[in-house]
Amino acid sequence: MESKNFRHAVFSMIVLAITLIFSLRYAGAQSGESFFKGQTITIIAGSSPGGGTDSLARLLSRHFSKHIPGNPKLVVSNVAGAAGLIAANNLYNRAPKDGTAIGTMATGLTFRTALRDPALKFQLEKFSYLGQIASEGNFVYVRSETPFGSIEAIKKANKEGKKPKFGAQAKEHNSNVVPMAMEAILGIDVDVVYGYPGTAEILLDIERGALDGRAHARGSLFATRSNWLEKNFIKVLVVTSPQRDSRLPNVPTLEEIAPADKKPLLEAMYSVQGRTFAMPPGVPPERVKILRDAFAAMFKDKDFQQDVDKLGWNDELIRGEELNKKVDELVHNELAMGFFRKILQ
Amino acid sequence: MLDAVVTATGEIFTFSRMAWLFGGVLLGSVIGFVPGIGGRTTLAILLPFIVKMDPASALVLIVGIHAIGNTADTIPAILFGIPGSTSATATVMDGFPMAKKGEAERAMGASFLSSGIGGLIGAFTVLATIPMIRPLILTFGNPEFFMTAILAIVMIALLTGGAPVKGLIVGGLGLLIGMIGDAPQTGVQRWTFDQLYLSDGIPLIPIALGVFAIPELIDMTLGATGTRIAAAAPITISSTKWRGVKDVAANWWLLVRSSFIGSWIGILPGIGSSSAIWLAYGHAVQSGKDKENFGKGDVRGVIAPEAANNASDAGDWCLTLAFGIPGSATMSLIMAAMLLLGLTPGPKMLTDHLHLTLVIVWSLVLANLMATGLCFAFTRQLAGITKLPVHYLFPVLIVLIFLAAYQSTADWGDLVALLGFSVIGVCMKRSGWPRPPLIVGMVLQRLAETYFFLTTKLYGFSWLTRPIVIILFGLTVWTIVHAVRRHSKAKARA
Repeated sequence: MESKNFRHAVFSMIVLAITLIFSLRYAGAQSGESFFKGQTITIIAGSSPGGGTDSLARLLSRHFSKHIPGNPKLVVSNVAGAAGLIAANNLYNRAPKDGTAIGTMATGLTFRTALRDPALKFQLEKFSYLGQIASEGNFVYVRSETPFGSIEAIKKANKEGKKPKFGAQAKEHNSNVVPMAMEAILGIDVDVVYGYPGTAEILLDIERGALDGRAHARGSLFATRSNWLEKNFIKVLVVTSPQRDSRLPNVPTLEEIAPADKKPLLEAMYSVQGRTFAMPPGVPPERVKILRDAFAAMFKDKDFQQDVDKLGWNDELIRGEELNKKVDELVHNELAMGFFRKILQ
Repeated sequence: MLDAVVTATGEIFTFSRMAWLFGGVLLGSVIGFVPGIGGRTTLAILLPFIVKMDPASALVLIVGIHAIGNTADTIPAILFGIPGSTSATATVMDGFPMAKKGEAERAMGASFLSSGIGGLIGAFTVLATIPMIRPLILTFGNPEFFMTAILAIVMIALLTGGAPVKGLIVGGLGLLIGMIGDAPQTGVQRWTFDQLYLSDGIPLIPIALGVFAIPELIDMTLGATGTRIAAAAPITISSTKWRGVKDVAANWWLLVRSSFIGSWIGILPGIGSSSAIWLAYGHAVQSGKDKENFGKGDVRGVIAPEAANNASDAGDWCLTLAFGIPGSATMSLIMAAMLLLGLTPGPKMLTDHLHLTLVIVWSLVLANLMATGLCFAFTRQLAGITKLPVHYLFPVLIVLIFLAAYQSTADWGDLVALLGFSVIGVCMKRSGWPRPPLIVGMVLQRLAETYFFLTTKLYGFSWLTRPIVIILFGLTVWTIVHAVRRHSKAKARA
C-alpha cells in the first residue's frame, strides 16, 4: 500500500516537474524568441508616406523580419507632424511595451530636449534604442554664381553687410541647425529661412535664386540632385561628418577648418546626425537584445545593402546599446545642450 | 525619340504588362469606392512587392492603381454625398443633388467621361509644354503660391451657396480650424489643450464626413419609411449615362478650360488637386450664364471639377518624373518607389530613361481609358443604389463612414471629431450655411500660412510688386466684386 502511495507520489512529482518545465519553457519562449512568431511589429514613421523618414521605415519593413526569430510581420504606420515629435510622443506613451512597436527617431528631438520644450512627453535617454542606420553628415553648399563660394568669401561678404540665405524645414530640423552651428563655430553670419514644407520646395527656391544654398544630407543630395554637382550648379563648402566624403574628396570637413577652441562643440553636432530607430521604455530586456541583434544582422544582408545604396545612404551601423550610452551622455552634457539652446533661440 | 516611342510601345503592349495595368485599375477601383482609404495607402502597402518587379511592369501597375482613384472616388460622392477623397469634395456640390433628382446615372456618365477626357487633355498639355515647364515653375514662387491659395479660398467662399458673407465667414472658420495643431514654422502647439490627438490638427476625412455625409444621411433617414436617395424621382430610370455624355459634348469648351486649369495647377508644386477642383468649379459658376442651378444639381458643376482633377494629375506626374519634384504626398511615395527601382526622377528621365517615361505616358492614357470604360460599364448598377430604400442603405453607410473616419489616425479622437462635426454639419445644413468653404479653408490654411511666412521672410514687402502676384490679386478682387454684384442683383430681383 505504502509502495503504491510512494509510486503515486513519484508519478505526481514527475508530472508536476514536466508541467513546470514546459510552462517555464513556454514562459521563457514567450518573453524571448518565439514571442515574435505570428506577431505584427508596427514601425511608427514620424512623417507622411513618401520622403526620407518614411522610406527608411519601409526599408526596415522589407528587410528586418527575416533576421528576427519567428519572422514577425512588419507594418509601417505613418504618424506625421511636428517633425517627428508626435510620433515619438506616441511611441513613448501609447505604443505597446512588448517589442511590437518601433519608431523612427527624428534628430530634432534632441534639440527640443535641449530647449526643454513642454510639448515633449518623454525623456530621450529612456527610449530603448535599436540602432542607427546611417550616421549621416550634411553637405553645406551654395549656388556657384553667388558671391559666397567659400568660407573666406562669406566672411568678406559679411563685412559688406551681405549674408547667404539658407533654406530650412522646421526650426529644429538639421537643415536649420547645421548652418546655425556652422555660424557659431566658424564665426560667420548666415540667414536661415526656416519653415519650408519639405526638401523639394527648398531645392526649387535654390533653383529660382530666392535662396543661396542649404545644408543637405549627403545621401539625399546624391540620390536626388547629383546633376547639380555634375553641372557645377552648386559649390559644396563643407561636410559635417568626422571624415571627408570619398565622393567629394576635395571638400573639407567642418572639423578641419574649425578653430581649436570650438572643437568640443562638433561632438555635439555629430551626435545628432543619423537615422535612428527606438522602442519605448519598458520592453523586456531579452526582447530588446533579440531585436538589436537582428538589426545588426540586417546590415550584413546583401539585399539590404543594395537598397541602401540605391537610396544613397551611408550604411554605417551604430548599435542600440551604444546609442543609449551616447544619448544619455549627450542630454547630461550641459555644454552641448547650452550650445543647442543658443543656436535655436 | 522615335526609337524610344517604338521601344515604349513594344514594352507596354504585351500580355503581362496589360494584365498588370488592368489589375492595377481593378484594385484601384475597389479601393476608390471605399471612402477614406485612397490610392496612397494602397501604394504604401504594395511598395515592398512593387520594388521586386521589373521597372516597366512596376510603373505600369503603379499608374493603374493611381489613375483610377481620381475617377472612382466620384462614385460615393455622387451616390451618397460622401467624398471618397478630398479631390472629390467639389463633385458632391452638384453630383449628389443630381442623384437625389434621380439623375445619378447622368451625373456619373458626365463625371467619368470628363475625368477620362480631362486626364487625356492633361497628359497631352503636359507633354506639349515640357520644354516650357521648367521656366514656368521657376517664375512661380512662394508669393504666387500664397496668392493662388487666397484666390481659391475667396472663390469658394463667394461662389458656393449664393450667400457671400456667410461663405466668407465659413471659409474663415475653416482657416481657424486648420490652424489647430503644431505651427509649421516653430512647432508651437496651437489650441491643442495638451491633447496629443490635436497636436497634429484634426484630420480632414472625419470633418468632411461629418460636415457632408452625416447631415445627408440623417435627413434621408428622417424621411418616411421606404424613402430612397432619389426620392424626388420616379422609380423608372429617368436619365441615362448617354444623357451625361451629351452634357459633356454640349459643354466641351468648359471641359477644355477646366482641364487647362487642372494641368496648370498640377504642374505647380505644392498646390495640389484640392485647389484645382475648386478653382475649376468656381470658374464654371463664374463663367456660366445661368447660375441658379449650381449647388442644386447642375451637370456643369460635375464636369468642371472632374476634368480638372484628372488633368492636374498629369501635371503632377510630369513634375515628379522630369524634375524630381513630387507635387503631392502620393507622388512622394511614387518617387520613393522609383528610387528603389533604380530610377532617379529628374532630367535623366527625359534622356537616358525616355522609354520608361513614355511607358508611363502610355499607361496613363490607357489606364484613363480603362478606368472610364470600367466605371461606365457599371453606371446603371451603381445608379440603381439610389433607388433602394434608405433603411437598407443606412446601416451599411454608417459603418463605412465610421470606418473611413477611424482610418485617418486610428484614434478615438477621429470618432469624436466625426460626431462633433456632424452636429456642426447638421446645424449648417438646416440653417442654409454653405459647407464647402469650411473644407477648402481647412485644406488651404497650411499652404497659405507656410507660403505667406516664406514670402515675407524672403521678399519683405517687395513681393507685392511681382507681376503674377498683381494679376492674381486682381482676379481675387474681381471675384469679390463679381460676387457682390451678383448677390445684390439677386436681392433686387427678390
